Amino acid sequence: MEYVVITGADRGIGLSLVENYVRNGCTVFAGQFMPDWPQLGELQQQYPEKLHIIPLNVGDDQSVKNAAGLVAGTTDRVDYLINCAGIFPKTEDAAGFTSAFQVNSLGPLRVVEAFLPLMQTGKKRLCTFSSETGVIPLMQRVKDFPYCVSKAALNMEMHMLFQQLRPQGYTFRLFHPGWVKSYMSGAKSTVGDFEPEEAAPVAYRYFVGDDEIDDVLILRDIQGQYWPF
Amino acid sequence: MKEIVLIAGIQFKEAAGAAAWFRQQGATVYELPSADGAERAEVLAAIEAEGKLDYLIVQATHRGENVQPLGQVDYQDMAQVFDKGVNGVHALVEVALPLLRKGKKRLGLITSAATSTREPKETKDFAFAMTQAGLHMLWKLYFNKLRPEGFTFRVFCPEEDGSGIPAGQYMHMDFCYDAREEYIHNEENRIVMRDGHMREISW
Repeated sequence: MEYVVITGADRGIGLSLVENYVRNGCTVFAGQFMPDWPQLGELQQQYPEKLHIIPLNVGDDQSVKNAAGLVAGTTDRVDYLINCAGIFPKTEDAAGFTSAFQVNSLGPLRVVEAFLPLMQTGKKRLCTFSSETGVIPLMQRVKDFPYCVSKAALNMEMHMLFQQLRPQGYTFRLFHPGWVKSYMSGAKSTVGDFEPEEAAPVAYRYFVGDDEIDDVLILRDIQGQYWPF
Repeated sequence: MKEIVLIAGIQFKEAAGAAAWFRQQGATVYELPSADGAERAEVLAAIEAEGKLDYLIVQATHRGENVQPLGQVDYQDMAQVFDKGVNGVHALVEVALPLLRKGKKRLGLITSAATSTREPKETKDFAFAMTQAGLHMLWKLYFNKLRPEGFTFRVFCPEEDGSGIPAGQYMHMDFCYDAREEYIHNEENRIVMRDGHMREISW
């Protein structure tokens, strides 16, 4: 039995990823940011033994600590930690930069830090949704400044975590899901190349796979291509 | 015509050195202790009276004041470093753009090679390294947006031992080697990080 924590599990690719893991026999602790959104609760009814919903706002220190405490009350081990929560700020001002940094950049660090004690005895796999928008050499956009800056900061953070934690046996999976019809702006996007249900199985196979070179930090996309980040 | 330079982050020795270098060249140099400094409006009003701004050079290499190991990370400290860095610099660039459009149109960033995302030598101070990575992305985004208007960009990583050329000199150099064949020989059409020995640093 493997234990999985997934942030941003309310809907979209996070929800679909939860379903992939529980369907494959894992016990999943799904971070819920929007208790009024019904889909995660509906999925739990299908998998009442395997799916545990935990309140989680990755932008809030105490919420993340509380979530880790709740998980520790059920299991003494987490095998996979999956950072999926993210936002796309509506404004390009200081509020937009700050909110994107708090959730997209610091959120994964808060979560990793809080769950490390539980991961010490598990598979030690840290999985994070990054993006081409954090890849400086290939950046072509002329807008979306806060989101791109937050993802560049996230990529730096992952390199630093990799340097610190890889010697302790942790393995990393960084995934760029492509242009997904996501909910990051609030409502589900009507444009994009992939449905969340198409991207999630690819992410799942990448996250659980053991055929990667683990001594190099790699950013891989939905088509299996590596990105120079 | 006398060149007008604004250097923000004069609290850092490299930025202060750049100010001194430009003064030696005869430029009029305005200074801000940091990009988010309270003196910003006053200084920009003075530059407005000059009628243009040729160079905006920024250094925001603020370190975390409470750097702790994993398990004890100080997120408030990290947020403050990011705010002084990315938010401060972004706000300064935005208000300076109208004046820069009347001048030489050069945006310079003084940063640190230790925060190259590909090969980070900084392994403990998340606030510092993540903020610098954010600033590198910010400069790339501004490059994409403003290069078509004729803006040029510099990203400079000073040598820790002080060797190599100084930041001011690098900010002042032009990289169009042959104006007759601008398409191929114009280094201004790409944005790179370089150190004091002109070595290109991976982003």
